Amino acid sequence: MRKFFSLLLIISLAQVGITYAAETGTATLGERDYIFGLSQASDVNLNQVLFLLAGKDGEPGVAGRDGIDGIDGINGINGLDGVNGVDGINGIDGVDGRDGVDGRDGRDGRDGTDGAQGPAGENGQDAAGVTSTLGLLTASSCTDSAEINLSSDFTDTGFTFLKIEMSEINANCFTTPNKVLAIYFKIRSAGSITVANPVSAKLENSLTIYDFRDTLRCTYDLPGTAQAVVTFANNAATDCRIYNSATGSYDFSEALTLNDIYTADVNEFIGIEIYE
Amino acid sequence: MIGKFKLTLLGVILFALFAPFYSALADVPFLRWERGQVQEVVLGGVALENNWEIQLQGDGLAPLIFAESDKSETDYIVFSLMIPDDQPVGPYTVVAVKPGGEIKVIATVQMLGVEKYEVIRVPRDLAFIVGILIFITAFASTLRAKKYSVMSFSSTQQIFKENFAQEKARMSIAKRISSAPYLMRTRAISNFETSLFKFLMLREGELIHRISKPLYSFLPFVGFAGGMIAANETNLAGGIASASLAVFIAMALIGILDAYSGVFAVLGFWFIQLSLGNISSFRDILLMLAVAIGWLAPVLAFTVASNTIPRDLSKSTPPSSIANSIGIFVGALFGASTFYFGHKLINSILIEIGAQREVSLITLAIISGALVVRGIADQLILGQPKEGTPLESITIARVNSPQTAFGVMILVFGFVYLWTQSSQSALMAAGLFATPYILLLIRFNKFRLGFLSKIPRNILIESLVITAIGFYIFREISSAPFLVGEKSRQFLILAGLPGIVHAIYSVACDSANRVEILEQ
Repeated sequence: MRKFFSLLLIISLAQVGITYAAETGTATLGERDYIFGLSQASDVNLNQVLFLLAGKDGEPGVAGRDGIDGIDGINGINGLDGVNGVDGINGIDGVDGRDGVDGRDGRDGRDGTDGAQGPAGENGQDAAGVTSTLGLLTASSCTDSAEINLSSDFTDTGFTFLKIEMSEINANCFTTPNKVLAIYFKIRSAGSITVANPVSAKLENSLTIYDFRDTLRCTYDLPGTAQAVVTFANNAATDCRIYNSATGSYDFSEALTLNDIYTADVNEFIGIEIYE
Repeated sequence: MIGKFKLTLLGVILFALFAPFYSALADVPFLRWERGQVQEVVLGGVALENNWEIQLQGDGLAPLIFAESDKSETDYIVFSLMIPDDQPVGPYTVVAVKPGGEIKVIATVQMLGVEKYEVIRVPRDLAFIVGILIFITAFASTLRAKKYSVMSFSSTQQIFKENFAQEKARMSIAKRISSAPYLMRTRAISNFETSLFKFLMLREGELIHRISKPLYSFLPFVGFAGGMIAANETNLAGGIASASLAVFIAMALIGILDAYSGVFAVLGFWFIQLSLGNISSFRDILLMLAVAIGWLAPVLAFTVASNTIPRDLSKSTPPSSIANSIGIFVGALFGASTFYFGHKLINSILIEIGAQREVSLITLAIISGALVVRGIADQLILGQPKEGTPLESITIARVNSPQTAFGVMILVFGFVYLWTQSSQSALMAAGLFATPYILLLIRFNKFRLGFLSKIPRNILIESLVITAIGFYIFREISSAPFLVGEKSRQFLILAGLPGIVHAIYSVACDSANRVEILEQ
């Protein structure tokens, strides 16, 4: 096997040499391609490599000649509407209008905490009062102030109280259970006391219903809902009593009405109290 | 349908006729490119600053984008594109696409089929050829390790040595005539010097010898006749380039069945080619050797791999059946790769225009399957030694001979010279690739790096690592700013270095091992 292989190799090499020697043309050694053999493809111009050396972008060229004037254009479309004009100058100011209606009162604030009871005050001087006139008196507790208006009525023997109207009472005074409005009349201490005519059936041991220095207390239950004006009149709801100094309490045996009290008999001071 | 075809044909003809004129008018070059190869565009100047993308555009086809190399020191970039084998022929344009999307036509191209196959213009094929060569080299370097140095099998072949003449004299004339083929074979093998090749010839013949002695005797003649028939068929077909691949598969299968007969098939093929006057240049001689590689390398590579790889997978002796099965599988892949390697070598030096001999996956599957069957048969038959038969073994003192190293050098020089047409490149590549085979002949008896003897060797992993390094070199060179020819030349030279480094390592390990043995 080895000998046969060697023989083939030698003959092959000899064949190569013979082929080389048999070339009798004018081809040069390089052209006699005894190594590569005949290569028809070797001279085919294929698969060229593209070499590209790109330069910088050129400068813009010179501007060309002006072209020939163009044909006149077609008439244009109508223009749009113009813009609105500027606004005129403002006119002179008008006369001031009437003042508006006053607004409603605001809600009352909450009651403050009751203060500690102060010491007992000294006896004050008598004030120069007015007789049977309306006035603004100080009320306690649920309202700081109230307006009182006293009305009188003439009878055969003199003026008697007809009614008492109170307004501007705080709404806090109208509660349920009802608060009580009490009005105190002080009978004068000297002079004379008017005698009723005809004599009242209420008289028992004297000519007058009340005596000097008596204190009369008339009470009236305030309604549960707030009222602009409370009328304290001579009616069934009014309950007037005489203070009994002997017992230290009001005599409930004698019920008076408001028109039983003569204005001339009453001291100039009238007390008002609202309590539960 | 016919009308459409005529219109298309007319369009192609008109383009072929007028494209050069059009290119001249458009002031762009007109190129003729072959598909299946790498085509290149070199750009310099301000184009580098513009980050252009180069594309090959065809009518109705998806554009192919050129790969960009690194920038060279002299300020140019090489754009490369591997044109697919199935790219339609016809007119194309090469365009530069600027980042803003602006397109500029820089050349017109007429795409042609493959008229001249040049392996250095197909880096994919070149990388495969060199990769297999690196793998084989690393495999051979590792094979010298002590772990793999002893190979043996139970031989039933009657190999007469010193007493051949006496044995022959005792035979009757009839016996001499009837046993002549058998004696020719055994005598031819016995005349070989003790070598790996001789061992492989014996071992690969044992299977067929146990199946049938007449088959063992006459199959070399069948192989020789088959080689002659194959040569005749290729000649009738117009040359190797035009011959059917079935002829080559059949010859490879004969080699797988019996390597010795495969050698005779090669000799028969060569003999007829020589007789027909087809061998008239060194290229033709290399072509014969490439055919031999394609027919014989699969079975030889398979045998060595399937005998060595199981030793890395199993600690027992003999290796476990699982390890042997893995060895057969990997060996079959290795053998099929060498078949592909051989045919790539044949293609790389064919002259004929239009040479296309692509080996399909089916072909590789046939070769792999045949090798697996061969391996299984070996396990079943050779794995059961017959009583009274001698144990044929070989201790691989050296994997190759000086002649083998010289032969590798000549082969590498011849092929590289044919590929590059540069004697300088061929000499350097031959020297670098032959060096590991020269180093296989060297061993140092006073080597004091004892730790090297303790490093475990693994023939498959080491070979794969060295091959991977070779592919890494290929990848690095691919991005260099050179034309494909220059890249291929550089790769052919640099790819030899990993094999040399590994061969030096193998020498060191082997020498350290030998010193350790001597000291014991």
